[in-house]
Amino acid sequence: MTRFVGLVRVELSRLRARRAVLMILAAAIVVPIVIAVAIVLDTSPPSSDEIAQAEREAVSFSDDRFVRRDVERCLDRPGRYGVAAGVRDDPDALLAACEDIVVPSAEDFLYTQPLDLDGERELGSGLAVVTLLGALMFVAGTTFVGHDWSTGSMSNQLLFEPRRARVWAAKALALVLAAATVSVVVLTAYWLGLHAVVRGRDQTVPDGTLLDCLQHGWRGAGIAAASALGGYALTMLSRSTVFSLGLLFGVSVAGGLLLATIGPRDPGPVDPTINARAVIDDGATYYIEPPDKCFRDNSLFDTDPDCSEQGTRSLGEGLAYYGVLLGVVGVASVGSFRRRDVP
Amino acid sequence: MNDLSGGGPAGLVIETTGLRKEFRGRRGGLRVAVDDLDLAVPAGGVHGFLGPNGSGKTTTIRMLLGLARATGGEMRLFGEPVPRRLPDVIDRVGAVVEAPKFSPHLSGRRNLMLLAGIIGVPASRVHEAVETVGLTGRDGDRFKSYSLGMKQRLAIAATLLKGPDLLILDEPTNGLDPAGIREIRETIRDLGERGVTVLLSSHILAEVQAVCTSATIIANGRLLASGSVADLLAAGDDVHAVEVPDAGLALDALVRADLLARRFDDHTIHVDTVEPATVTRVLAEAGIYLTSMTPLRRDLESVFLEVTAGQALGERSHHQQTAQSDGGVA
Repeated sequence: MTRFVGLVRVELSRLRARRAVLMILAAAIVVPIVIAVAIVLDTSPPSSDEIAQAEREAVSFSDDRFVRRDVERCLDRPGRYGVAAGVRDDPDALLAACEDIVVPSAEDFLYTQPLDLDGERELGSGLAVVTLLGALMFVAGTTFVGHDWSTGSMSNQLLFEPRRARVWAAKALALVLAAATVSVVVLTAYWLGLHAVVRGRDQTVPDGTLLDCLQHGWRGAGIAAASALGGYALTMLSRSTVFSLGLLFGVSVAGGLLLATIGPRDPGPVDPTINARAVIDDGATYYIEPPDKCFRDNSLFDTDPDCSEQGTRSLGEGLAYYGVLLGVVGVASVGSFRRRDVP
Repeated sequence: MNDLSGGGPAGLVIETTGLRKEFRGRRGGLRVAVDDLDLAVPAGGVHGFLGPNGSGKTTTIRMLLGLARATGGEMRLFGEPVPRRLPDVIDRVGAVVEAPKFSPHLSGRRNLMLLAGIIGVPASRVHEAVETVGLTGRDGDRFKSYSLGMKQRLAIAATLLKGPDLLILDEPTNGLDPAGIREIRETIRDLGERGVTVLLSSHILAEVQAVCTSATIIANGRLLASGSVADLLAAGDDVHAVEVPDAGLALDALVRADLLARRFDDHTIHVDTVEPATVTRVLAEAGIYLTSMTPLRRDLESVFLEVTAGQALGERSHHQQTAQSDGGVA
């Protein structure tokens, strides 16, 4: 056991000493910071100058003849403009409602949206940062061990520790520890940072939002660590960084097309993206293409379960999907490493 | 095959029995790299492992060290079956297999520190190893900036981290300049004298003859000869230089008597025989009186060429070699 711990320490040292891996880990820190800064700037409240400028533009537009003509059309046919029926009989109220709908306000010229943590988590940058970390950690795992194979230093290491399963496990553990630590720190800092900005702007944050965001980040960190392990296991199997990166690229580019053309109607059980979202978002819904019969008889959409256009994938199913995938690649990788000759 | 080393199984550091390694080609073809090899390396001294390129030396070493799986046969290191018990003995074995393989962008010292960490030896051992191989002052430089000689020295330093009882060196002087070769040879000789058993794989015969106390010769994955270097040089058919008035007449007479002889110059013939009296008798019966007959001293190169030449001629020659070796060295 002591020797295994020593082996893990050595692998952590090896990881720290590998410049390419360090650069990837640095990118995993820097790029999310850049994304966060961009979001903060993009959602920053307008300055007094910007507000004054927007008000001036709104005033000038309110007298624009095209706008006035549109207001008149609204007064003629208020129903088309969505004016509530209750105000149509009161000329002053109708005019106010039409101007409210048609005439641009100062806000329309400010082009900023307030920072919304739920929005960022569900549809915005949260998923993008996790996807980025996952891809970078996969490359880190591949590069880390690909270097051992390309330089031939793997055989040198085995002359000091011939128990290959131990060597495999020590490298995997060191890599997963590093990937998980970096991902957890980055994603935690990401959400805490955005939360601090929102609070600093005196915006209200609903209860539980921060915790939801942090849990989203931690599940994402798990995916990133698993991705590092997957890249590592695949490269230990193929003994080639190029092969592993090619496979990642191929799955990213051609995988979606293949699933769309020859995959099952319900892509949930096979699509890696849907399952990743299921893990990160604690369950995911996705579109299912209904069979032709549903379009021939539209009433089937309401009655036939086959015509449901929405699929759901739970967190457990997503975890099972990635567990099985990692298990298969891991077993093949360890088995191959233990049996095959080492150059 | 006679084992001329005199070492019994109890005194063997390396022992293989019927060792075999097959490689399957991409198209299903089979290549036998090591074929029924019985190798015995006694404890102590420097043992040469000789063979032409592609004879199976490196493959044998790689199987012993667990880097390649044997297709058949048994192997033992320090009496322990390997690869099953290799973890129990690996700390006693230092090895350099083929070219030195380290992380190129790390310094020599850092590379050694990482290896030392695996076996849990202190940093002071790294310092000692660096000093022993004469890399002090350059150990902080990146491995990729090293000359081939420095890389070889670093590889040897790595083996010394363990304080090994057995050192396996595969072509350790490859690419070294004469001074480097001399240093490595002295290091090897030193280690041998300090009680470390060294298996020196090489195709440089002068090196083996200069450094080794015993040797094994293989070709096409098969054992051809094994024993102490002195016995290898002394045993087998002795070659004698025979001076006669007319080399042509004398050669005819000797060949008619089924003796292996070849003309060296107009007055000298080289005859392979263990019975000089037979030569004098045959020549006398032909009415030829020799002027002198002198035994020629053989070197390892001639032994090597003799035993490996048969292999190059194919299976028939192999059987002849085996028959010869049943009665002598090779």
